[in-house]
Amino acid sequence: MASSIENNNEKLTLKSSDGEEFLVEKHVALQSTLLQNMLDSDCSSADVIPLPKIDARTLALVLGYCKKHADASSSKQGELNSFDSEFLKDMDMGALFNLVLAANFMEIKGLLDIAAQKIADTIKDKPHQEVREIFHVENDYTPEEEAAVREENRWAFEGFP
Amino acid sequence: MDHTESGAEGSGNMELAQFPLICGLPDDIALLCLARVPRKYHALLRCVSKRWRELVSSEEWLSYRRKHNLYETWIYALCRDKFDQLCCYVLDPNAPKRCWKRIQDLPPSSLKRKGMGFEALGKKIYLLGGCGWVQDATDEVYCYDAAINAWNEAYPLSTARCYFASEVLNEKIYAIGGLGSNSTDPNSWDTYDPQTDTWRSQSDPNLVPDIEDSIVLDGKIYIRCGSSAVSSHVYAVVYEPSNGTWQHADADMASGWRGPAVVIDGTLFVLDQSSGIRLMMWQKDRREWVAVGRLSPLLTRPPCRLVAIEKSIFVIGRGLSTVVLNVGNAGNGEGVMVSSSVTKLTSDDDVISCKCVAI
Repeated sequence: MASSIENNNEKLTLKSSDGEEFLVEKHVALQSTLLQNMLDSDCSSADVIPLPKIDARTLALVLGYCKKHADASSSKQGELNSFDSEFLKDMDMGALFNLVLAANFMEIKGLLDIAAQKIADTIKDKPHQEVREIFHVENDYTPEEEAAVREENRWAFEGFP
Repeated sequence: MDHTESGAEGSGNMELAQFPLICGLPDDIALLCLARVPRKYHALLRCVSKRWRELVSSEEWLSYRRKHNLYETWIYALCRDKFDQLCCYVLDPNAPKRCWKRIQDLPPSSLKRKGMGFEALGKKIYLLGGCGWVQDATDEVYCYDAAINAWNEAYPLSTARCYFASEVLNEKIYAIGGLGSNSTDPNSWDTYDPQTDTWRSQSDPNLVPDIEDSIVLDGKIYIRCGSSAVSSHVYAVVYEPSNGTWQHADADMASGWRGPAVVIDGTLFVLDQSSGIRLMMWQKDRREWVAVGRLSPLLTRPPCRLVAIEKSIFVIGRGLSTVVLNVGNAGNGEGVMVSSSVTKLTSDDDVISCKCVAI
């Protein structure tokens, strides 16, 4: 199957917000529901498709993910899983945010899921002050309120592993 | 700043919309990320900011996690301790090291109650009615919000009741029959609709006050009635919600319902302790009870209560000693069932009722 698609060798051009162009094989682009819908609605593949919300660095990552998932056969789920975790490893929070926004915009469900989960997982086992710093959350509690909410939730942290 | 504004609109009734949930992400994307945080860390999220606290306590959070299959189900057990006081414990069945943990104490006025109802609906658990040694049946209802670990007083029952049946059917709580004050009609039941926060009372002569147990099966409430002194005959009545009437249930089904019961995917399971401990299953198409397997009597500490999460039955006994049986791969008849167990409490609390809450 895969070879027949490659033979057909259709490509399209995506343009990042910072003006960089990416030549993408069609079967790779089809990982994105957004692009799939555009191609279905006879949007000519000769046109350059602008992605004004996604910078070149992020788009390169997104397309790397799409290529791996488009090329891998479904039987190699284990291999894809290890690719996924390696892919996100050591990625900083800013890059993860860009990735999750891009995956949401381009409608790439698998990527959206793993990037969102990675962001969620950084919260595990961290004190709430650190969570605040990581996500730049404005602390709108007064010291008294914060003490009260800590006390309210104290039971949840008892016997924490 | 666009993100902040569009996000705030998307979050609907959320107050304090001046800050984004996460700086740099629109609120809907932030929710998508935060909703993937495992349930045991939700208390931590609540400490981060007021908006996070509101989010984690909101119906939006609950419905998002349920809709996207992110929810985790915990088991809540109502117990009576050695001082004859009520207390509540919670178990996260997927924790790496499973153990029961005591939750927020019940309101002081309810601690000595007997014969109350215990029901879970949405993210809340309701403690309904009951009575005391010298106190008549009450109509009081207390409500525990599992998202915030707090008890509050809720809208009272329309009828004071104790030793009654309670069930949840079609997102409504039913408080059925039982005993009450002199004015209580023993053939009545009350229905609570959380949408309108109101109770509605109805009655039917087929309902008897002497209630032993209840279950919901195939969208109907079944009540096992007390066996009379004259005969050991076990019988059950069934509530048909489409016409609001009570009828006698299948006698063959009722005859095997001789212990704590639980329903999984429309199949009724009963823990029969009449000769050894056996898990029985009601095969409704053949209208007969079949044995699923035996349990070692060393594992269970009766009296037990049953709850189910997916294909697993939790047999919860004295001191919250807990045995987990997977019925997905069971069905070997008389063989001993494979199980895992959860460490019991150091005390020997009696378990009154167990319910599941998925958040």
